[in-house]
Amino acid sequence: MKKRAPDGAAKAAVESIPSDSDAELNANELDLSESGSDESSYSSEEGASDVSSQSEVEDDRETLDDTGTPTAAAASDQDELDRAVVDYLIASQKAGLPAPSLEEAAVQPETTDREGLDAAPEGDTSDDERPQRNTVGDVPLEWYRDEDHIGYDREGQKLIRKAKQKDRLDALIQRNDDESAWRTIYDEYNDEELTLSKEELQMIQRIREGHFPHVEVNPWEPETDWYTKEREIHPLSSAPEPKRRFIPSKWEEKKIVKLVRALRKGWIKRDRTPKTEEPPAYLLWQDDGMVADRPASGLAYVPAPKPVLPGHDESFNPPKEFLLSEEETAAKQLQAEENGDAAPWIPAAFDALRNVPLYSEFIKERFERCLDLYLAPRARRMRLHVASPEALLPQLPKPRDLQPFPTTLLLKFLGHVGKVRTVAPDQTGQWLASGGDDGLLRVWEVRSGRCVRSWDLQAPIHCVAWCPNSALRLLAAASASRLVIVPSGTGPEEVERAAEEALESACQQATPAADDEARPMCRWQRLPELQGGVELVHLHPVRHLAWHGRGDYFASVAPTGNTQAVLVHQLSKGASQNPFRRNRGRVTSVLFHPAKPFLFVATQNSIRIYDLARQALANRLLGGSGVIASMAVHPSGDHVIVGSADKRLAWYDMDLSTKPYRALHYHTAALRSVAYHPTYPLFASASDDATIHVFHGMVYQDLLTNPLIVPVKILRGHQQCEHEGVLSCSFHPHQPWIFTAGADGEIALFGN
Amino acid sequence: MEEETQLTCSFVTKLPTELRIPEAPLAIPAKTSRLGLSQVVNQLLALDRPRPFDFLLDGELVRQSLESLVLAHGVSTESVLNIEYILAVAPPKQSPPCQENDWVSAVACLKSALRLSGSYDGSIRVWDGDGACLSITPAHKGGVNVIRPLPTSSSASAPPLLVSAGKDQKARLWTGPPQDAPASHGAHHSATRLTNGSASAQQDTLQAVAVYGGHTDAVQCAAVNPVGSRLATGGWDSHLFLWPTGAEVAASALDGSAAAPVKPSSAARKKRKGEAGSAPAAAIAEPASQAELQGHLQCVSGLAWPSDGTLYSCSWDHQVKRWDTETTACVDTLSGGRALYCIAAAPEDQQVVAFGGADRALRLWDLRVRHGEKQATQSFVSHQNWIVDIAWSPASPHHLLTASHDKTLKLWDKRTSIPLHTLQGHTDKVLCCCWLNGQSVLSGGADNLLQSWVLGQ
Repeated sequence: MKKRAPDGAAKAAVESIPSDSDAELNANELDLSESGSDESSYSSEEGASDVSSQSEVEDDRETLDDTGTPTAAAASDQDELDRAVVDYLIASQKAGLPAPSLEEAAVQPETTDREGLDAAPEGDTSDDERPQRNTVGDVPLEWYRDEDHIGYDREGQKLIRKAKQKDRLDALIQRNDDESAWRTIYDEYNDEELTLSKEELQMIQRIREGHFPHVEVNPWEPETDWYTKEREIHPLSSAPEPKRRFIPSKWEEKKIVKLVRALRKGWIKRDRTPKTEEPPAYLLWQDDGMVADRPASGLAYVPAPKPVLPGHDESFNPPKEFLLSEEETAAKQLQAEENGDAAPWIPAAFDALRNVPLYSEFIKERFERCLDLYLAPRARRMRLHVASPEALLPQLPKPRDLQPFPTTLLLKFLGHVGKVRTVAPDQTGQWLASGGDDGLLRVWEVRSGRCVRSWDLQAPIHCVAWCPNSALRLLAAASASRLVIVPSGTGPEEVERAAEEALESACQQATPAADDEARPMCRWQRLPELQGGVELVHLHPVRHLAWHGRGDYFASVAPTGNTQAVLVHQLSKGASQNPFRRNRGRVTSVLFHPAKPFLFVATQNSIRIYDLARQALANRLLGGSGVIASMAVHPSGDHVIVGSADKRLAWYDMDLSTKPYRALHYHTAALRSVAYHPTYPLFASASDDATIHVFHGMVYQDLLTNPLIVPVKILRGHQQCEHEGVLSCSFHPHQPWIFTAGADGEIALFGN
Repeated sequence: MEEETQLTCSFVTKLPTELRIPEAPLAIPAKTSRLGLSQVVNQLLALDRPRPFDFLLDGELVRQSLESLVLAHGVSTESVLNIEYILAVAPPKQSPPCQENDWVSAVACLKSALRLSGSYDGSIRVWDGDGACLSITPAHKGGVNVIRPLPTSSSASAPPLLVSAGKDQKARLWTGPPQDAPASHGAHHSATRLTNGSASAQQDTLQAVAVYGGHTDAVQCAAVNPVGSRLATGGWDSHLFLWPTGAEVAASALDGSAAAPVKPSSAARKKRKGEAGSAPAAAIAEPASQAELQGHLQCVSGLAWPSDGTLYSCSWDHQVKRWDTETTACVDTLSGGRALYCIAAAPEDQQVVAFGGADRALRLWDLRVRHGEKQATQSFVSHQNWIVDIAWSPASPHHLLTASHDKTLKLWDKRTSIPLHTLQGHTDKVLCCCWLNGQSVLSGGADNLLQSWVLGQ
């Protein structure tokens, strides 16, 4: 009785979802399809309460009744409920469902009612999705083979194996005793024995035979087209048609206007004729004259230069004007012979091409060409590979390897008011002379920075120079149009006396000589206000002076003097002479060669070197674009540096060229002064940008090595004043120190 | 939290007994520096007035924490550190300055009570301890470069001698005020007290007894041997001369004047023609030079004569030379990279010289230490400009005084590279300095001031 389920129920169970919640729903579906009693089932479904669920169970029973399966009428509601539960159990067993406990089964219909509607579309889900009561999960069952449990429940308690493996003998006896033993199987996962019913066996049989599992399934049932068979005449919405359906679209019109316009303008081409595939044309001589790829021989192909195309005169029948007369022919041949050229082309006219004779020189020329190619193969020029732009720069030594050179500001000599125009240390390095716009000629002690003596010359001093003769210790200064020579007073008394006597004798000798001329170019006279001094009064303002190395001759420069710009004076005789009748350009400075009887005369754009012994021009150095401001001669005498107003410092190697060996553009303003160090390989340039650049300039003894010039230091310490920076610089005679005079009224000493 | 390391130290000292502490080792935190150590010693001593101490570890003053010092020396932290403590030099107290007329270029002290200053106006002034100018003596035209007192002679009654050199290419020997005249000195002290050093001073305070003429350019430096019998002068003519000096020369000059001062007096009159003061009656000897030490190429700028046979000189040609004065040979040469201005030798060990020049560094040359061919120099850099004068303390072989163009003087202990004190008081370049005795120093500068400081202990 228990296992004998009604056909409809069994069918529903097999076809439906095996989950416990869906059993009820499938029963409802059966109702719909088979009995057609829609009303009751709908109404029962709409109720969502315990009562409705009970009534639904009733419906179930009634539908089962309809199918003709005999059932016992329920005496009471409780009995009906019990029976429904039992039916459910049977159905679930048929479907291979885990049998819930009685309590679970009792509450089951409530849940089915709620979830059933949702799960309705998924009516025929397979058995695989049924939840396992066993909580082992995917753990292989052989793990529990020797255990007495088959897994764990939700609380972590062991699920004890109920149907224990019976003894084999017992199993045999039971099999023989029980007639249904042959259709009882053991469900390992859920630990229970299932006895298959007759229908199930039939179903298995059918599956084995390849039929549908259920008998009543007709795979060839006529199809009912529920949705497209009938055409509905009523619209889905009863809203009236909108107005836009009846008026033409504004945007479409715009689009059309645009298209029409494009068509009219020819932007859109309507009749697009298909492109005709032209046969590809090959340029036969494509590589002619071009550098081709590397040939198989591995040598690069270097094309020969293209010959000039033939002109009209080379035609076999040129126009008559190209034809030469006999004289012209003779002249041309003569000219070619004189020049040593090949035989010239003489145009000749022939009636027909076939009358043109073979080129007589053809074989000879071809042979010579082959010789040319064989004997003088064209050279391959390799491209220069430069790794980086820095690699092109010369390898200069580092400045710290070139020490000593001035680096730091050591001392400031304060006292001048206004610009200091010139500084000059004496030969011992103990004293420093300076002059400036305040008209004061000062002598400073280098070690302490003390001004030990000063003379007031009442006019700006442009140049100061010590007499190299250490027996006299004279100091010369150029101020306005006079050149003042004073004994410096730094030496012992004998030196003072010697200086006084030298100046006295110079004045005495000079006075008669000056009287000879009506207007002497230079007058020697004593200076009463400066003790023992002598002044040389020029006609023009003196800007520069230079002593000869022995200390007897000195030269003065008055740039505006024109023909009397450069005067050379002799101290011992008190004489002055004008060595140059005229000067080419305005003279800016002069210098004596340290060893030879040469005089360097710098004009605004060149430097002329005169040999005083031969009285001739020895050399001429070409300047740059700017006015030469200052020059200095290397102690060896073979090199000159020149600073000019175009911010350029030029180094001339006089043995090398008349053009600069190096031109250094480092300053940002015009150069004012340049200087060589007497003993160290140093030179410096002072500029209006208030900086002094110090360079290492090593001159080598062998003539093959060029001088090494390395910029080593930029000295800052002066202030710009009225666009003038450092006006003068001069090196200490023995130490790597440099004295600089600035437009800011300070004299600075930079040292190592 | 790192555990504080402790170092075991035992304190030793050579100070008198009341300043001694037991030598038992103490555990001192490794981070302690000089101040902490000084506090520890003061606590152990329990003096009523705490005194600052300085500490020596391996002959070097403790100027950083013990930890870093131990690390730098590579000493194990487990071993007991033997730290010697000495009394620290207290910050010097400045005395009121004396006003000069011109830049002060040379200072010296005589009998540790009288101060001498030479200035660019060419005169030597004598000041007493209170800053009163006792006398002004015109000495060298153009400026006095150096003044050196001669060591006091054995006979107490003899007047003190001193030597000066200047820009007039001469060096002179002077007799100072007689030593046995404290009463008269005190008597005319109030009478002839000069203010500002400008009034005419008593002329007979300094008497020139000898003039050394042989240089052809300014005499830049002078040194007297420890006995006081020989003088060395060096000048801008790169010559280095040795002269006889001392009481004998002075006595001979005085004797000569008493007998027949024919030649010396005429020479003296000629020499002192340009000087402001009237020539004293005493004759002036002109000793000839004993020897010339040849070797320097440029200005000889500094001389030091620590022991009788050894003379040190420095020059603008970047060289320090040691001379054997008996054979007049150059024994040792140290070449540097910069011009040198001044040199001083340690009073006790004659193998250590300190020199300074156109450089910010004070350098010490210890002749006993050599690394192969190279000589060992130590350089102490703290000044900001040239060091122009060095004076070694007569009382301590470790203390040095340097004068610099950066307007300061610095007091150095040669056992540390950090100066002990910086003496600030000049407003312009400091040009010269000297020790009055072990306790006070004197300096002169371009601000026309003669400053003095008293060092406390």
